[in-house]
Amino acid sequence: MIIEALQYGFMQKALITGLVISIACSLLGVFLVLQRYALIGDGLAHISFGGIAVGMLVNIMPFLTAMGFAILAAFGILKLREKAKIHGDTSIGIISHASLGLGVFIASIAHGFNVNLLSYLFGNILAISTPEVILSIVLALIVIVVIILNYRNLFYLTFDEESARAAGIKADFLSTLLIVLTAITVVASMRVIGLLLVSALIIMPAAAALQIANNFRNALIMSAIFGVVSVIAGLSIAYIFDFAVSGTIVLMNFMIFLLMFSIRSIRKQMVLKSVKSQM
Amino acid sequence: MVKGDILSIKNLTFNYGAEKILDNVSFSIQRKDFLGIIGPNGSGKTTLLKLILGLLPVQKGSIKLLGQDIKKFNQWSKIGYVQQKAASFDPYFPASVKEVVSMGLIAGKRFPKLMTKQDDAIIDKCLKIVNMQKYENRKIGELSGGQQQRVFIARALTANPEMLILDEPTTGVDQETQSRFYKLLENLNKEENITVILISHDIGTITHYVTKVACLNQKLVFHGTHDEFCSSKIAQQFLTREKHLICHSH
Repeated sequence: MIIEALQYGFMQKALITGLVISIACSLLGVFLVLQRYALIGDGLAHISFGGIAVGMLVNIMPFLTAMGFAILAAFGILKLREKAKIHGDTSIGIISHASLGLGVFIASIAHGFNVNLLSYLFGNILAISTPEVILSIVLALIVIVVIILNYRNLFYLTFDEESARAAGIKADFLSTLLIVLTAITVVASMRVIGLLLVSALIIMPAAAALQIANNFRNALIMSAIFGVVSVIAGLSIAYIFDFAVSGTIVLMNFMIFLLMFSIRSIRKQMVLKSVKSQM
Repeated sequence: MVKGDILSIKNLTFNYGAEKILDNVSFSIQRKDFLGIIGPNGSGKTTLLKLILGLLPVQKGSIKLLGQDIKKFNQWSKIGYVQQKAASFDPYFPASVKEVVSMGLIAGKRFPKLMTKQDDAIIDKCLKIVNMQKYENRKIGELSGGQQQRVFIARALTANPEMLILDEPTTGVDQETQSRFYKLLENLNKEENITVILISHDIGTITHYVTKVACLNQKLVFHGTHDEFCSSKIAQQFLTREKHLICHSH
């Protein structure tokens, strides 16, 4: 049945886009989760909502306005944190809710595109157009390549920022890069998974991988594998049972997380048992 | 190799807002010195170290590293840094010992910073120096405090540094491990000719190993050789406060 479904163009597009997006999200997620910045994806998604509303209002491709909003906001969050000495989560909260408020305000005064606007909140991987597929894939591939090329610097920065700075690593540039990449990924993912759930694709595969990985390279590889598995399983189950795709993908991610969490707990108990038996 | 002073500090003053942290501090150290910087809590030791490492901007005065003004200095791979254990990393971070040590090579590499077989050999050599080679695949958070600090020293050694700077590296580490750790620093100083700057408030322990002492209390209250320190009034003041202070001759 799944093979049969893949004969349809919309399923092929959905699968390819979903796989590339999930890899970008899950790689970024490892750095963001370890830097205690996991919810920035959520904040940038709220910001993108304002951008989409503005795009629809002035009749510009919402992808572009959302991207502009998200990247500008990313810089704004960093500036608020550095210059105004406002904590990271507070600065995300201030900017993201201002933009979300703008989106809701525009939707209330400009009747007629509310339904389209809402489609960005929940996403629909099976209904995305070919230009959107191409744009999403190109953006996600840019994110993946930039992460791979900067992997070692980002690793050092994530592990120990002060030592990385002392070693001459350009920490401010890398922090900005990471947040801009997150903004791009959120925009690239919004038609696939929806703005409300995009953060799940960033956080959950990474959190699952961190339960069992014993080195950083493995954490990145496992996170990407979990992201890919959740998309394939989510799409398949949603197709077979006619469920909402984005919700099913997120639930698959949650189940993978629970499984990895259980494996870690069992491992821990086994180690404790063997230590006790040796005493 | 730069001849003369490896580190030269002149009239350094630093304030956090209205509060003066360092007041007109001047001293210099030469290659192969093992300098202990001591002083009570809040005396400005860590601020001084952050200024030397370029983590804080110089407000007044000057710092020269390897003969170059700190504002223009870019040879950071020649300076190894080991920070306080507790402040340095998340114990649940998924990084193997080998990965942590490999970080020391990152700054000196050109983009895209790929690791080579030669790098693997350097990592193995540095792990061997600190006697941690059998733990290379272990997760860093699974090691004891003393072992973790050895790994961080190995990381600092990978770039073949001319100077090693350590900020209270043995905080929370038991006495026996501390002694082994300081012995390792002494060997690096004597055998590998690495200049060492060690910040500590535990003067009783570090005066066993250092060749020079700088005593800080916002101002520089003493700077001289180990023997000069042991016979100084400052040492006697510390003696009355810290009963365990013992000065050993080198």
